[in-house]
Amino acid sequence: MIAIFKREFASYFTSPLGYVILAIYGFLSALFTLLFYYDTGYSYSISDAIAPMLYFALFIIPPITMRSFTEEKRQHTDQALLTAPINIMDIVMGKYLSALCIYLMCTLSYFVYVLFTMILVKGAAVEWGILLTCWLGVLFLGAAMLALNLFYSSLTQSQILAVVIGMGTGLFVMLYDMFIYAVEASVNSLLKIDYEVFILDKISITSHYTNFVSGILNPADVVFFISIIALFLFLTGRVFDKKRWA
Amino acid sequence: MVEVKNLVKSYGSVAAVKGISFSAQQGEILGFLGPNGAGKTTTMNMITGYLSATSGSVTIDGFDILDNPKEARSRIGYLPEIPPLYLDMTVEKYLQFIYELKKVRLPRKEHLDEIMALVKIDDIKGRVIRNLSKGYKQRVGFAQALVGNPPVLILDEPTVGLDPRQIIEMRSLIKSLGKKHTVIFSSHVLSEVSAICDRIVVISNGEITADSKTEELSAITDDAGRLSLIVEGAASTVLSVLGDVDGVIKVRREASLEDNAYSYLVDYKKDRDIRRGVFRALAKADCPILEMRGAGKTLEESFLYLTDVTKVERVQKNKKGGKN
Repeated sequence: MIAIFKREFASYFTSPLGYVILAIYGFLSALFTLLFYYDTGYSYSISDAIAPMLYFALFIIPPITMRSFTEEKRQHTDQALLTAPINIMDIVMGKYLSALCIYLMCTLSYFVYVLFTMILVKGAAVEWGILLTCWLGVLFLGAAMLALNLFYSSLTQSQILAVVIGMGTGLFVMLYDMFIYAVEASVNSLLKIDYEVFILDKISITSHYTNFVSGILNPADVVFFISIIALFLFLTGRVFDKKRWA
Repeated sequence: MVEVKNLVKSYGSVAAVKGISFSAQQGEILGFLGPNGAGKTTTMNMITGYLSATSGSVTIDGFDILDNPKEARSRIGYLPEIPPLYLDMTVEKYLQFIYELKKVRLPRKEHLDEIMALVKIDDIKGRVIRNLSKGYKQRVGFAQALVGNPPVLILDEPTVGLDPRQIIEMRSLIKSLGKKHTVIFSSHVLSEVSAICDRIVVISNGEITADSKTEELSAITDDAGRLSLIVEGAASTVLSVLGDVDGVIKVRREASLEDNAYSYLVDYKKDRDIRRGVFRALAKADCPILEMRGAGKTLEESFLYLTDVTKVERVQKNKKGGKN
């Protein structure tokens, strides 16, 4: 697992991919910090700068994992991995953790901005608690979406296809609440009933994320994201192994 | 060392490999010979555990490849048809990665330096694999299979893409490795297999059509002699007359040459000399022989002969006959 992690992580920086992702995320997070944190005379919380990153994270994440499994199959390097004396899950975890590391590096940018604020602005109060829950929210959201996108990359040999499906899913995740609301409203008006809580509400990624960025650290949200990660990593392993049994 | 039993691989209703069994011992070089699409690569992928078998089993050193995958795979070095190279890495970094991937316990630097010297890639170890020529890539792939010094080496067409000098170097390398390791090595070039291997397994259409020592195999392909004739006269007459000569196995008309003259190929049993009989029979039929010469089988013909499924039974009968 460590060997695969090291190789994967290094491969992000032997091509422009790693640098580009870091640069784009850094630029966007800096922009939002400027607009919603610095520029408002510090009347707003850092969470106002972090919360909208949701919409961009959903589109930055698919390129991080687009090569993970697609390239293995295209270059036939999966033969080296699958005939090595290691478990399938070692391969999946190595790849997942290296992608997560890239994303983690992206999200650490917030701490840099906050540190700058502390050093440069006298009397600036930093709400460390809020910053930490926001960061955890961004991290868990990204970790779940990375697992999902890793799964997509195991399904196809085309990087483009993996990215497009990943971004499509991102869009769906973003609009999920609206979608559920519309379904709920139309079902209620059709059946002339008044159900407020749909079970579908509970699997909304954005609502679990919103809890984090509002400063609420709820174990249910943590469990929710960890279940998504576990589910898709497991499925990725199954799909990668499937070729052997085809 | 390597034991393959009744290996079957079907894709839907299509059977790519139909019940292959053989075994290879330590210090043996086993040649895997067959035309493209015969099932060589599929079989090798099943031996290394890259593909599962539909039925049948593979054991390496007593460990089943599917029941004890870690133990079995750690004993195999595999060079697939297309070497599994990460193009964005340098040769040295790549081999270090493979070293860690296989969890090798030998001293790293000495071990990798030794391998790189062995396959002659030490002068390019700092170069990115993407920029290497096909011959070098093939050798890096070979080096990858040697990492960890596995007792079993599975090499899928290792000489494809090499120039003639490299092919000779590769052959002598395989031959020297075969003294200590079990080497299973596939090719569709008969001369190559017979030059390196102690034993040849011929596979055709997913079935083994011959499995014997290299010398025995060439005897099988040589058991028929051949005459090339040019005879004047009606083709049908000549064919029936020649077919009746004692010792003749098969007569084939090749081409029509001059007026009323054709060339023929006559296969006959090796232990007979049919030349006089042919002369007398054709003279009796008033068909003058314009030319007669012995024609040996080319390597390619022997190959076609061996991989021709209809010959399977005959080969097996011959083997049984030889043992009695």
